This record gives sequence, C-alpha cells and structure tokens, in this order.
Amino acid sequence: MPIYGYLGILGLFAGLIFLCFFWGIWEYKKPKDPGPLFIDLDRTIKKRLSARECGSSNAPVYENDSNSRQALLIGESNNLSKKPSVTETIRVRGDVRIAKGEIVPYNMIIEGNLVSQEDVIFQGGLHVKGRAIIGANNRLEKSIVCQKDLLLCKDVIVYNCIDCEGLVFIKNGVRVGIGIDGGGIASKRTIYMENAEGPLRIHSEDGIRLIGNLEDVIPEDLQVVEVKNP
Amino acid sequence: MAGTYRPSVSILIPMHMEGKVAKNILERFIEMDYPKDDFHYEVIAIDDGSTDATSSIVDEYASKFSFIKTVHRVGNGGNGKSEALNVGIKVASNEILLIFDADYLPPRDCVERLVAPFVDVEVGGVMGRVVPINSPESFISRIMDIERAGGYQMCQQARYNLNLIPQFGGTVGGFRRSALTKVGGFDETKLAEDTDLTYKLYLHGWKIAYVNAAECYEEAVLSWEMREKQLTRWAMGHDQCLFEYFLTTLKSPVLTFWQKVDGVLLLGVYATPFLILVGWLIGIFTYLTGAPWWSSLFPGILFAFAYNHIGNVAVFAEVGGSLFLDRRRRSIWLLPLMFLDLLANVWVCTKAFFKVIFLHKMQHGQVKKPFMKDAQKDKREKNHNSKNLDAVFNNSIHKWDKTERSGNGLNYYINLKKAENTAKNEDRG
Repeated sequence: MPIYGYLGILGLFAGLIFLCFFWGIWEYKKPKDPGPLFIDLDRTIKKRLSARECGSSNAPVYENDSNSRQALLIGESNNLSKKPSVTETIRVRGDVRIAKGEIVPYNMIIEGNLVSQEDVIFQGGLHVKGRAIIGANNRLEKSIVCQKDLLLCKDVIVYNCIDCEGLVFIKNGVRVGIGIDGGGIASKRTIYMENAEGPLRIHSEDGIRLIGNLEDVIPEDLQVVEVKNP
Repeated sequence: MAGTYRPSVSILIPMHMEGKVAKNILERFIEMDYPKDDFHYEVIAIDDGSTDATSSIVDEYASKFSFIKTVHRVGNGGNGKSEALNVGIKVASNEILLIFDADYLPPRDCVERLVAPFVDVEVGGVMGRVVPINSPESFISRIMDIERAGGYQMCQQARYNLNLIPQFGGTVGGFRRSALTKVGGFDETKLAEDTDLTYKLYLHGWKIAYVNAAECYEEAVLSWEMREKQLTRWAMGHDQCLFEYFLTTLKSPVLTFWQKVDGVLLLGVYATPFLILVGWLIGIFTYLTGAPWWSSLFPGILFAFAYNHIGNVAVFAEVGGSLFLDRRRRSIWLLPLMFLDLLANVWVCTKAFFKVIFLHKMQHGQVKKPFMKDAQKDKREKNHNSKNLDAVFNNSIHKWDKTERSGNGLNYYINLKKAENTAKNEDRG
C-alpha cells in the first residue's frame, strides 16, 4: 500500500511540473499571439505628433561642443584598431567626403567624386574616377590618380606623384614628390598654379598657367564648400 | 527632439554574404523619412569579402541613388564586423554614425528617433530596440522574441531611466564620431565589440541613450545549433570584457557608485549561468548530504546562492513585465518554456566562460605544454602576443560565423500588416 502512496505523490508532483509547462505548450501549439510585436514600418514621427497634437518643439538645438567634452575625458585611447602598414585596398562606389582630421589607412579606389576636408592623412594611394578636392593641409603618403578635375588646397603634401586626366588646380604651399620615390605631376589638360614653388617635375599636354588667385578660374563644381557637423 | 533635430548622419551597414537580405534593408533606407540632401544623409553598405550576390546588389543600388555608397574590400575582408565598420567609418562623412545589421528592417522614423539624443552633448552613443520579426517560424525564434522583449523593453529602459549603464548593442544604434575616435574605434580583437565600446565610452565620460521607440525588426535564429553559436560568441566576447574592464570599472573616477555596481553586474551577465550551475550543484549536494560543516566557512557560497536566485528569477520577471507592457499577455504563457533556454544558456555560457579563462591564461603564458619543441614554443609565443582569438583557437571561431538568414522577414511583415489592417477594418465596422 505505501508504494501506491509514493507513486500517487510522485504523480502529483509530475502533474504539477507538467502543469507549469502545459500552458506554454498550448500557446506554442495553438498560438493566439504568435508574434511578432507589430511595428508599422511606414510610420513617421510627424503623423504621431499630429495625432497627439504635440506640435513642434521650440527647445534649442545645441551645437556639438566637443571641446567642452575634453575636460571629462580621462585619457587617450590605446588605438588598438590602428594598423601601421597599408596592405588593403577598398573600392567605394559613390561620392565620398572624408571628415576633418581622419586617417585613412587604405589604398582607395573611388568610383565617384572625392572631397576631403582639412588635415586628412591618406596612408595609401588614391584613385578617383570623378572629381577630387583635396582639402587644406592633407597628407597623401602615396600617389593620386584622378580621372577628372583635381584641386589641391593649401599646404597639401603628396609624397609620390599626381596623374590627372582633367584640369589640375594647385594652391599655395602644395608640395609634391617629397617621398623617397619622388615623382611629379602629369596631366592631360592645363595645370593652374598659384605660384611656382610647387613640384619640380611637371608635365602637361595643355600647358601650365600661373594664376595669382585660383578662385578666379576654379569651376563651380570644384568650389570648396565648408561642411558643418551637427 | 525626435523629428525636430535632424543632423547630418551616416548609416553603416556591414555585410558579409547577405545576398538574401541586402535588398530589403537598402529599400528601407530609401524609404526613410529623413532629408536626403547631399551628404546630409548617406547610407554606406560595406561589402566585407562577400562571394555571393551581395556585391552586385549593393552596387546596383549605389548606381541608382546618390546617397547610397558601397565599400568593397578588394582582396581582403571577411574578418569580422568590427574590421568592416572601421573601414566604413573612414569613408563616412558625418559626425553622427548609425549602424544597422543587414537583416534589419527599420521603420521610416527610426533614424530620426536614433539621432535625437545626440542633441545632448554628453551623449556619445545611442541604442534602439530590436524586435524579432520571424518569431512564428520556430520554437527557438518564439523564445528569442520574448527574451528580446525583456532585454530591451524592461532591462535597457530601466538602466537608462536610472542613469546606469544601458548597453550599445552593436546594431540599431550609433555614436558620435568624435567619441569613437577618442576611444580608438572598434577593437578588432574583441568578439563583442559593442560591449567593449560601451565600456570605453562610459569610462571616457560619455553616456549612452536608449530609445525604446526606435524599434527595428531583425531575423532571429531558428535552431538550437545557431543559437549555440550565437550565444557562444556573445558569451566569450562579454567574458573578454569582464576580464578587461572589471577593475577599471570599479576604479573609474567618472562613473557614479550605482553605475559601477550596474557596470560590474552587466559585465558578469554571461558568467551568471555558470554561477547558476554552481548554485544548482551545491543545492543538490546539500540535499543529498545535508549541510556540510565547511559551508559556514564560505560566505561565497551564500553569495552564489543569492546570485543564483536573482539570476533565476530576474529574467522571467523581466520578460513577463515586458510582455505585459507590450500588451502581449497571451505570450506570457510561454514563460515556463524559457526554462529550456535557461538550461541551454547554463551549458553554453559555462563552456564559453572556461574557454575565455583558458584563452586568458594562454595569452599571459600561464598554460604551457611540457613536451613542446622550441620552434613550437616560439610560434606559441607569437600567438600569445597577437591577442587574436582566431589564431589561438585555430580559427575554430570565425568572427563572421554569424546567424544564417532565411530572408523571410519581410514576408512575415506583409502578413502582419494585412492582419493589422483587417483588425482595424473590423473595429471600424
């Protein structure tokens, strides 16, 4: 008789444990809420706001004051992700704008136009299939090949050479060919320069012109537009 | 500020063999409700060494839409998401950078919602909510669905509301370029680059905002095998961060007391299943033998018990609460079935925990094989110094060894939308 008692209690416990899972199994087998949570992919904020009659906010939009953040920072990073040598090539389809102060540790093939802002360092070579505007104080540690017009802003340094199929505009302080391999500038069309202190070796099929102020001759699509970050 | 603050933004989509889903996500970003002026809004698809149709799909979109750009890693790539992201960041134009995985389906307001917190100059990163779209597809995807609900709706939101450490989850989120540059970008030696970045940002004085309304669909795993792979990767990455940031977090001069407490608990989240296992084993042992005399000597056992109970109960409470808030009360019935997931977690996370301890010791030269030849020793030394997980584990864990996508996500959404419209019409009727 005691054995039936034990079995009864065991069965009761087993039943209680099964009861825990029973409702879950039921919902899984015959789901009333199989999910997922509905998100209307077409929703926009304006619709929601007008529904709630919130109106637009008059709160001020603060500029990003990154300098004020510096005081809070406790140290420099260990730069784990940086690689010393250029072993990789990336190909970009579309227009590219490189942010100020960025270091680009790749060879780049750009199937579009390139605009680099100030103080950018290109550790690899550049091949731009569209127009290229190289911002002030940029450093190109290899060569640049450009298939359309090229503008080199003030104080750009190109270690090796420049090969361009379009017009070349060179501002004051630009230095080319200062690397070990040296190099010069070759262009199919006219090279415009602000002064003659630039590169030593220049070849142009259309000739070289010295212009006092390059802004007078630079076409509109090569005008440098300052881009403000938020 | 969502809807009124619209800074220029670059969206990075790292892709590796994403032919099934690449089109869907690019379509979503074409539909996005955001001013698409020149460089104000750019979508950068980073094709990281794909050999399937990914490359041609993204190129096709880039040729049609000026704000879509593609980056192809020529003769390189395939080494993982963090490497791909570091490449993408170099060609991104803007200060605000958002990241989305290729299988995600964001709603039209997602970008606006994600960029809004950056109006606060103290915010260095932002995180949105991830919702699995394919939950009806399998048992594991249904469990993932409710687990995700708990992790975001309740856990991340509470952390954010209480000014603790909401985590940047690596996708449906973003960061400020200046903050990222300051902390050295994504660490390519980490399996959980998102957790690593979270701690680096916080330790450098930045905050991470959580935006629950920035919901985004993802495709969840469909099988236990995939779940095990995914969980192993997460657990190992998280445990790596545990070793690296445990003391740094406690000593940090910029974190508050409660941020330190939360930070340490968050670091240990994938070590918890191991403690749960310890708790269970002690429980069984004491049941069978009675409380041993030495148990009173180890307050740590008490701690293990307490942690065990918190670990056991908290997840269920969190998920239940979240489903209640989402008005999905019937799904609460599935809660007991999460116990199966807990068992799997205990097993997988315990294995991952010991793997990382072993790896940690190897990296510091504490594990030696007695009969190793000199040449082998030299090779081993190089591996110790490389800090590269792949090298140490003989490429047993590839960093792009990621979730297989069925690519069915959009079909589920179409059905869901139909059902929603029918329900609305019935209500009107």
